[in-house]
Amino acid sequence: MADAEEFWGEEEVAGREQAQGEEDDETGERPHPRRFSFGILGKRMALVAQGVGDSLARTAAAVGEVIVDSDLRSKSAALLAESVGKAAAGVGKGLQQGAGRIAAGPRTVQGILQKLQHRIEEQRMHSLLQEQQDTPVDVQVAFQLYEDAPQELRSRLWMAVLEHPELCKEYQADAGSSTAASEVSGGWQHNGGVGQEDIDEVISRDIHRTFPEYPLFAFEQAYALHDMEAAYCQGMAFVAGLLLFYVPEEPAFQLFCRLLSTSGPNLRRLYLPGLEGLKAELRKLEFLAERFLPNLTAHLNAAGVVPVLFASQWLLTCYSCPFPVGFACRLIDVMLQASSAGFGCAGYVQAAGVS
Amino acid sequence: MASRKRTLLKVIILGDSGVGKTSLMNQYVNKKFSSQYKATIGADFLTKEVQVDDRLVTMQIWDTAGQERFQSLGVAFYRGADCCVLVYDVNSSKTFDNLENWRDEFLIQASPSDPDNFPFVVLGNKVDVEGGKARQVSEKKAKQWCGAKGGIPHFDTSAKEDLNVDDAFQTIARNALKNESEEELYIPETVDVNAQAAPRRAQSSCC
Repeated sequence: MADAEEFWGEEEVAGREQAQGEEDDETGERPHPRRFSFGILGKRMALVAQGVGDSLARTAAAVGEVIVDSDLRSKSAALLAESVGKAAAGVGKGLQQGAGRIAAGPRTVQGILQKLQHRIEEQRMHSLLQEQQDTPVDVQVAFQLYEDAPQELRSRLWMAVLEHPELCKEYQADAGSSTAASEVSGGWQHNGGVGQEDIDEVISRDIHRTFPEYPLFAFEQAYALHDMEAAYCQGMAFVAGLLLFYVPEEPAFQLFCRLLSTSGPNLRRLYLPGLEGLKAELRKLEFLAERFLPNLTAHLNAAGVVPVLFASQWLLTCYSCPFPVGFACRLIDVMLQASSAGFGCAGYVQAAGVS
Repeated sequence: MASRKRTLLKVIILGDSGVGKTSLMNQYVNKKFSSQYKATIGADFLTKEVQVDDRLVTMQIWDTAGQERFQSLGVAFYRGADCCVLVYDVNSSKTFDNLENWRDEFLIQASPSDPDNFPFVVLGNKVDVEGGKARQVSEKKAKQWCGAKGGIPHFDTSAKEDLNVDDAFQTIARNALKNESEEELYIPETVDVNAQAAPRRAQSSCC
């Protein structure tokens, strides 16, 4: 408990300092003395803190939900200001330490701080996302790999694939046009009496824990209506998230349908009830692993670790879990172009405007 | 090259999507809670050393995907389990009603040697939500169900506030240990996947 007191005492002192610091952040006049000692993360957090002014009000409102007492409410606002200031000081690692200390604090305050932590974490994710958007990526156009290309190349490639269906001969028949797609879905069996409401519930439970910053609910709901047999399966939201990272919602949805389409890469076979498609792929993996990595396979088997345990998520999330996003996206590059393998790269490069 | 022998308990966590299986596991093993866990795709597991009376055992906790269609992958997960933890959300009676299915499915797929006495533990999670005002499943109702299933231990838990999590897992470890047969578990040595050497002679004593 002594620990906790020390912590709260420290917080209060720090809070006063940082309330001051925050004002300065907004005017940007006084450089925060502690800001530079924590490296890149610290700087990033400082940037976040500048933006936090706006979101502070919203956060406080959210926290207000858990606090009825108005005294506590004002106290919580103060606490928010303090801790945000603390974040500005670059307590990336502090998040973790903080969690330990917080556990010792009073329960209500603990709730507030946990909400705050999520808020900070969200902000951090947001800035990471921003940064990622500026990082060069490897984009694959047919058999050509463009290393360290600007991300825009990928956006343009994906849009080109969508806007020029004539580039994909085989695909022309039914892709791109939603009427053709819905005719296909009309022929599919409805998924064993599971109502749309149930599906909606499953989706809403999932999406906030996939890529919370994207409008995935409507996206997945739309797909469930479009393809009532596959409907929604965990993992789909990851694929959707990857697409939304590069293109707007509507084209992303079309690309998603295309990736899942039986006449395209046919990812939907992996998601169908019963997961037979997934199991088939896992058997292939098992076979290949035995053949090419016998040592590893023997080791894993001895420990009872079979492919279904670790590779299900690879296949169901288009390798975005747990592999880097860049890897997964390159795979999508390839899959989107797969149905036009005979076309060569020239058409795509032209279409993408990089010839 | 000698293989280490130790007691390894395999625990499976089952329950509907979003009831908090991953959160419970993480709270217990890592003492951390986040409302931002990603949905579990397929399965995941964590291990923890636990002291049960005077024995030190390794608990291997398998966290599974809650969506119904993932049940068909169950066989691989369930085999060799020493205890099964059924989790529901006290604020959703549907997740409680489904416990019956999860239990049945587990018994069918894991086919333990003595299904009537296989240890289950039931956890009613998220009791913290709205200070308990959102609760749809009373503890009494849950305990009744547990009683009817042969006296399954029941705990009200909150992974978020670390309420009863340790107690629950202590019971889980204890019951799993009771069920554990005297077989010796083989923990393989680390293997270098890049080594070109011929595969080591398999320890034929086991498997």
